[in-house]
Amino acid sequence: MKLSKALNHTLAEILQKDARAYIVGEDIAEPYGGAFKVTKGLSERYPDRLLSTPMSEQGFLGLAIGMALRGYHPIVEIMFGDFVSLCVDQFLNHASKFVDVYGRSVPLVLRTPMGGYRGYGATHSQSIEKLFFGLPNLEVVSLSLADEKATSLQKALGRSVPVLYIENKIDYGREVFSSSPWVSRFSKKEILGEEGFSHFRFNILDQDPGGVKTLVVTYGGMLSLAFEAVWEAFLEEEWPCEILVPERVSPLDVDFFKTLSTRVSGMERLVILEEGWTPFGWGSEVIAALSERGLPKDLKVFRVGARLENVPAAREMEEKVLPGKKDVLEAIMGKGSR
Amino acid sequence: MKKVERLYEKMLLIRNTEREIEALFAQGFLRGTTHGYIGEEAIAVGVLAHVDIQRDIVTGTHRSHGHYLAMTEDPFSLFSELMGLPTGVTVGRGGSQHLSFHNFITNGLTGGMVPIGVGMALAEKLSKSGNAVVSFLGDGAMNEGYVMEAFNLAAVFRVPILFVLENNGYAMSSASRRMSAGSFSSRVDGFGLTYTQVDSQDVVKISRVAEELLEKVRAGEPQFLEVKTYRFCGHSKSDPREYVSQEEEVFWQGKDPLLFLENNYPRLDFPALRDRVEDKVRDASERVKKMFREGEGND
Repeated sequence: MKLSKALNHTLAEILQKDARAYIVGEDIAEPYGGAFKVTKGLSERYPDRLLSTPMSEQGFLGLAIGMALRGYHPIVEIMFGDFVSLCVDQFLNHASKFVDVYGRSVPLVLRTPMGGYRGYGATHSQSIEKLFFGLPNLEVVSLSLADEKATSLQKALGRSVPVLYIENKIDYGREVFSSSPWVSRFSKKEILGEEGFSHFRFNILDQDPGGVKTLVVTYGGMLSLAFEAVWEAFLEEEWPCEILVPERVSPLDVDFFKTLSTRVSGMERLVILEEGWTPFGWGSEVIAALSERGLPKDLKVFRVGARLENVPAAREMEEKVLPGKKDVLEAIMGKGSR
Repeated sequence: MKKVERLYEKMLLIRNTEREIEALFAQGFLRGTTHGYIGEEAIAVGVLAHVDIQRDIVTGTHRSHGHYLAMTEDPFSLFSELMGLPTGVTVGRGGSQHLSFHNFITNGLTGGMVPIGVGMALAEKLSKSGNAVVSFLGDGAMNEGYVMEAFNLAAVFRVPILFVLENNGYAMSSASRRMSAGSFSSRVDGFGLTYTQVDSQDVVKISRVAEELLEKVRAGEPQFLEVKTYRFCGHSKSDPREYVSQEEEVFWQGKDPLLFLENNYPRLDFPALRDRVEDKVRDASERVKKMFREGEGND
């Protein structure tokens, strides 16, 4: 099953089971069904539960916050992740404040697709979730091919705090892990943490996890790239890696971090892969948090992400800016970083 | 007559509480900042006379002491909040700009609560509760983008909300007439919202108009009320009001909402009302200062 279909099923299930859940956003109803067709067909089955809005992102995010304060469970769709810049004030200066300044519950999820590799150019290709990292009472959760039924969306809506829920454009058309080609090459282990979110460990099938010398940590749409690079490292260099993927990326999930701290000991290299710009990114925080606990003495650390340039539209130029298989592979093999 | 007496009493309570807050700052009891409501009392008191905060919903602004007091008549919890004491309305976390109780929420971003008010009104519409939302905003907020978005959303979804524009003529030091193109009424008309203006500080009149508008709101029709007003204090505690002319000040002093009632209802026992309110504010202030000193003693 394709990830967008899984997400569509989960949204339908939420609307079916939870009479207080509403989907709020632009062009989400039929016949359009959302810019990426994630809400396809839902307005026909639940005509009252999809609120099609005008193009006023800060306005309708505020509207959804108001609904959440009154006991509803809004799921807001922002058409492109790039547009969450318009939502910062309502998210940070309003929704987040109501949680601890006033002790109110704000069960709200803002879903949005981040990411490039599709030639959409500078304002429709970014991964800017880091604008929301490390802020109080705001969580950032990311969907990946590992979460095959998109259950992280239900988990996110079950929080009493506003959640930025990151999807990735190119993931929509990809098969979830168990129906993808990777299922015949990697084993998958899901660990459900105490805070309600899972994290996933992927190892090359029939390889002893004890012999792994490189840990690749990533989230969201970068999982496919991690599979490609890790598989090639194994095939070409006979270098086995393990991939670690959390659902919640901010704040760092406690149990994910426990697994990470445990697994990193004995490793030669740690590669942190994210699609957004590397400086001051998620990888920086992961490494800082690990360092505070003491990194293994000879561990080499690599951050792989986008170069600090706006994302170009032309294919070759875009490929140079965004992280590619070669970049990840070089990091895995301990050569250079970007 | 009893009704007018209550309106006067609440307005005076707001006036005296705000003056006491200025005094508490001067005496070093308060830190942070505060935005006074002195001069604008008739709006909060007139409009909120028709709101049941256990059912209805009110969104405020950074300048919301008046709204809070009009509904609670409780200066003690406000003083406590400003002093950061656990008896404060948000146990000291919020401070002057961040007040919340029952269905009343304020926040410190100009205009930011307006779209949220629209969303809360939408929730009441979906729940078929018959409750109304009152969303206060100032003339400065009329130039914020998301406020315009909120007006459009209110009209598109036809939600039960009364927007109350407290036009005191200034966004901080910037005169509204220099900062706002066109007119507020034509902006509101442009969204297909019904616009009503009260160019008076007469609390009785404001109250009557608000009652009529809220009836329409409860029937599902969004409404917009602009009241022309004036603040006799600075934007915040650090504002000496150098942008205000003597002439303008004198003009508005003549329209003081308290003075208006005193001149138009000579049969009311104003000295008794003043005594009652002064006692209430003084008692609250003394209590809170005592708690403050005891707290210092414990440090």
